[in-house]
Amino acid sequence: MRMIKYIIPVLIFVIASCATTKMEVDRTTAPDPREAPEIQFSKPASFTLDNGLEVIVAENHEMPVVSFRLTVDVDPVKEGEAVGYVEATGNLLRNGTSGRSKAEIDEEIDFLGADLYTFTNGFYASSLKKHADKLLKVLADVTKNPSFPEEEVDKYKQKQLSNLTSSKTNASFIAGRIARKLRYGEHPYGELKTESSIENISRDLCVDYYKTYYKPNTSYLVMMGDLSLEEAKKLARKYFADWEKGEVPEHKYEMPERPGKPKVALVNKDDAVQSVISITYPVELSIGSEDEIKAKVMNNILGGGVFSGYLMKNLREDKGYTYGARSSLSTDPLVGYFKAGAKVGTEVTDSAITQFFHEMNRIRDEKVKKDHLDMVQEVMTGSFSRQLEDARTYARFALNSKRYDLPDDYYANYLKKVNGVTVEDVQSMAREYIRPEESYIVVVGDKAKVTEKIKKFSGNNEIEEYNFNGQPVEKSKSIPEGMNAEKVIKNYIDALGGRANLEKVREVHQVSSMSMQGRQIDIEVFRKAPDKYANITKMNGMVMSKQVFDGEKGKMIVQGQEQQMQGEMLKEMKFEAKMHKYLKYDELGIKTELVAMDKVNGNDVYKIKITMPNGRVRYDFYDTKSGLKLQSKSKTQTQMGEMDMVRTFSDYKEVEGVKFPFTINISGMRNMTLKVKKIKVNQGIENSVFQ
Amino acid sequence: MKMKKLLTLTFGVLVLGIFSIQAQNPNIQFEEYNLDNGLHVILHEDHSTPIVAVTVMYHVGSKNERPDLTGFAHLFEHLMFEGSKNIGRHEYSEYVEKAGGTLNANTSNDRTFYYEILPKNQLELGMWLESERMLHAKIDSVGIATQKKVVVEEKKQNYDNRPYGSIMIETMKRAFKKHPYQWTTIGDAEHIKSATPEDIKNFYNTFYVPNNAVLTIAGDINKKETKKLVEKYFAGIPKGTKEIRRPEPNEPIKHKEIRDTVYDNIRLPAIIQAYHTPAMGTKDYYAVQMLANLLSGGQSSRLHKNLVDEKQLAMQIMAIPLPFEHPGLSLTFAFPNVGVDPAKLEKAIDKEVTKVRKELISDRELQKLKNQFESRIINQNTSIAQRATNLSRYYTYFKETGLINEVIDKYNSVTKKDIKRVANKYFREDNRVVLYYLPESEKTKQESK
Repeated sequence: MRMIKYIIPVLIFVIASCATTKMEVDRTTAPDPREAPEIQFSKPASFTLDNGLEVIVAENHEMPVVSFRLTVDVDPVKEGEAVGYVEATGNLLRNGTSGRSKAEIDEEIDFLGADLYTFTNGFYASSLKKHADKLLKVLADVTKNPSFPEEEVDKYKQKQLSNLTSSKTNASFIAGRIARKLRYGEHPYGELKTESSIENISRDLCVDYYKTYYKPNTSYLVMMGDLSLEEAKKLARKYFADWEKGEVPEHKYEMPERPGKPKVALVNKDDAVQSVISITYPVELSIGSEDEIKAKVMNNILGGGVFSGYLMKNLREDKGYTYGARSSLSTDPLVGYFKAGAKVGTEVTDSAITQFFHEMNRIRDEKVKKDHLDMVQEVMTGSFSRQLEDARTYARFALNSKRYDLPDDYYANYLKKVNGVTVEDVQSMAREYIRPEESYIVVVGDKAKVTEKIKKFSGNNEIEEYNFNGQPVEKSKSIPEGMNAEKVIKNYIDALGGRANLEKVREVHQVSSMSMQGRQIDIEVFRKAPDKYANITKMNGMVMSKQVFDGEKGKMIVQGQEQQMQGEMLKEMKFEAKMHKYLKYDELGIKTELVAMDKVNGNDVYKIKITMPNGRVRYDFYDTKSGLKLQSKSKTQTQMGEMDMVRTFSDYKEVEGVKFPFTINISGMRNMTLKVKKIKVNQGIENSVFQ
Repeated sequence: MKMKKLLTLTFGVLVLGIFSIQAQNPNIQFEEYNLDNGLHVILHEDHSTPIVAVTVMYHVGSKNERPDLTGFAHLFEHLMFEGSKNIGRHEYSEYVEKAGGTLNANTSNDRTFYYEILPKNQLELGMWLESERMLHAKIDSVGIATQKKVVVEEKKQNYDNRPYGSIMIETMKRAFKKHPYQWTTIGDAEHIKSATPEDIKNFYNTFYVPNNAVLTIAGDINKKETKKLVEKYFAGIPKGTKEIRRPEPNEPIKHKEIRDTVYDNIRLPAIIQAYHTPAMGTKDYYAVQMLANLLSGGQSSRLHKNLVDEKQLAMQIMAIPLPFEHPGLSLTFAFPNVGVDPAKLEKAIDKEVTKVRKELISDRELQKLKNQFESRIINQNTSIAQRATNLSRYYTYFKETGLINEVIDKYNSVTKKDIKRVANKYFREDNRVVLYYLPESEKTKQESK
């Protein structure tokens, strides 16, 4: 045992050194903390320009650094069909002004070694003090003269669309959206960005919003860092005094209500192994209100950090349902919210909700133990003090004080108030703000596995299903008596033109095109029975990739480089290249199952689970009326994680007695619409095409 | 106890002297000394926020590992949270959270760093936690078994199964043939799995010793009192007696480009160019950093402006010199836009590099680079934790803690000619590794050739 041999001399040494220095080291227990530090606050100065711009100056001369934050403080607006344009307006402020192109702004900012971000109703920028004047010059231009170049608006929309698309399989993101939609209802906070709302964003909307709402008389400029009040005044006047003031419309909205009874909302995610749970409702709790700090202490006891929250202790430490279970209680001048949530295994979805309710009720019913409260107060004191290191914290405090008209000593007394919260306060806050019986319970998970188990939490024993965009999904009907997958496939075959006609199709040559980021992409597909296949993809007329398979061998040519198909890839190709697979699912070992009724674009559909011999699963949706396939969903792996690939078929037209979809919408990494230009059937395709 | 007080500029000197210049260079004051056991102590007093950072930097990273026991420095970072003789399993985090603080650690090729940020009244707690770690960390079979699993899992998650996660591993093993930079901090899963308790204890006894560490305490402290606490908790820790393995910077100079393709579970290709560049702290290193910034620092940089914004050949391009103690690499990562041939993008990047080799950059560009670095250096020292890290780094690598205040001058003294010169000296085709990361679906091509 080397360690013991090693430790003994250490101990002797320690004892020896103690003897000489007369210091005792008791290593067996943690040292006691000294007296908690007092925090000194200097109140930031402020002044108002003639045009109404309120300027707050938070001096900090530690480092020769300055930063500036603009906040345009206006009521939220309903964005309706074009949700996202207010954000677009903010983000695009820095992408061009009447006097500077985006490239020129980039160059000026980089030259100064500065940073500039613009966002919804404001900007944040920082630089060294010595560049403050030049930086402000750009900031003033961006604030007063943004031009929203058409090209930049388009680029922005594309980026937004691909962001949204890549979030579509992110269950936590979906749960957040639905929770927002439910708890805020008709309030503007409840509006969600969708693909179509992003498409509807336009330069005009941005310009109009900017002209109406970006006014100095509703804005705050926070100037932080190494500058004196005098310097700040001079700079603010120099650059912002000529920002023209104007009347800004006000909007009032009704306070959303909590649901009278618990409501369970579900978003389906086929085959999900985890459910995301979010329990939420709106609350009236504004910053600076009597209850605010007490309520926050209470929430930290319920759902704070790893060692301090009831939820974490129960759901993570004791039950092992989840890696993290937390709650938050947010203040807002209009509508605040409570939410509690976790990501849990599908099989414990209902047990986890039960425990959330248990802990939410416990904090209402039982008094918190004094030492638990002490610990939470300690944790809050620590994190408050650590935040103060960042000059931006003081600026935020200063801004809040102005915006919400807080008492002068609000932040100075913050810790005093935190530490003054009593066991009784915690319970009375819990009774006021923790309302399990009036909450929305949002679950994103596998509908087939969780539906029956979570019904019981709903006040009316019913579940409401929503889609990604927060629209209610019509209750799907139950599967009609006697219906099964074989019959659905048979109907599909008949709808396409019948087995006999389909079998006559020996060759198909299909030409289609789509546009992607402004580029035209042409795709030509050749098929020849039983299993020859070729695919040529061109971008702006140039061949980008080519894939050919002659029934035995295959190759790919990507950007001029050729590769033979081998191994798994070749095996898969052999299978995929077979024509008319749906005519012989059994023979090919493909399993089908009618799993549910569903809706696609308002049409009732049969949902068929299709399992390939290699185990890969896909879901196809067949119209109950026409019998045609309307949609197909599969999963694909990308560098952003797993992603749903959804293909939607429409515009079926007959060619040689057989129907083909002439419009195919594909949503995966990007949303693309493929338009078929022509289809030739049995017109003779040379075998050389496949080699 | 020997005390070495470093010369610190007093405020008076600042005011009397060259105020207009110095006003921009904040002077971070510190005091440093050694304990008898060899522990180097740095104290930085700053009362602006009532918090303290208690940090220890051990001069051990993956380059100190034996070639048959790689991944140890990082495995230790995990083991060191398992507790100590007096601290139970997982209690490190619990003590700190309950005290209202935060803690973490990280490992590089050259050093391992542990820190706690605490309210000032919990300074002693931080000292206790760190001294326990240095004196008698708990290295038992349960902890070893657990952390081996965690690390192997971490490798799977962050390196093997994460798209592009193997870039550093693949690059380093081709770039370095002799020097231990050929493996990265995560190491070889087999070495970690097969490590014996003896190997592990031996590593601890060799490297986790006061004479291989810097204790930096920064923030709202009283120096006199803090020194007493340092004495109380750290003076009794015995000096290490084992020989500390320090590899030589021995990688031979390259004269031939290494070019290869890696197939990964990715959808979009990536290009990596890795040029051998000098060690951190050398004159040329500063020039190389500025060159990298010229290429990709900010939206107006040459590569971003020309190849991302204007020609739209790439989604993203970054040039990053590795901050390594021994001669390392400067890496360029480029992600071609959908439908763009990687070779075409690479040619366009090379063209920009060639331009720097042939033509002096403009005065304005040089000024821009200086401005960017000045701003970066100052912003790197705004928080107490950052200052503690930088003070520790400068001592660990260069035994020159004062660099924290002088490093700006190093950048300011770089000339246009220096940048052209380092571009010619290091950014040469025969001095680089080029890797193409391609989607696995394209693998068969290579096999059939």
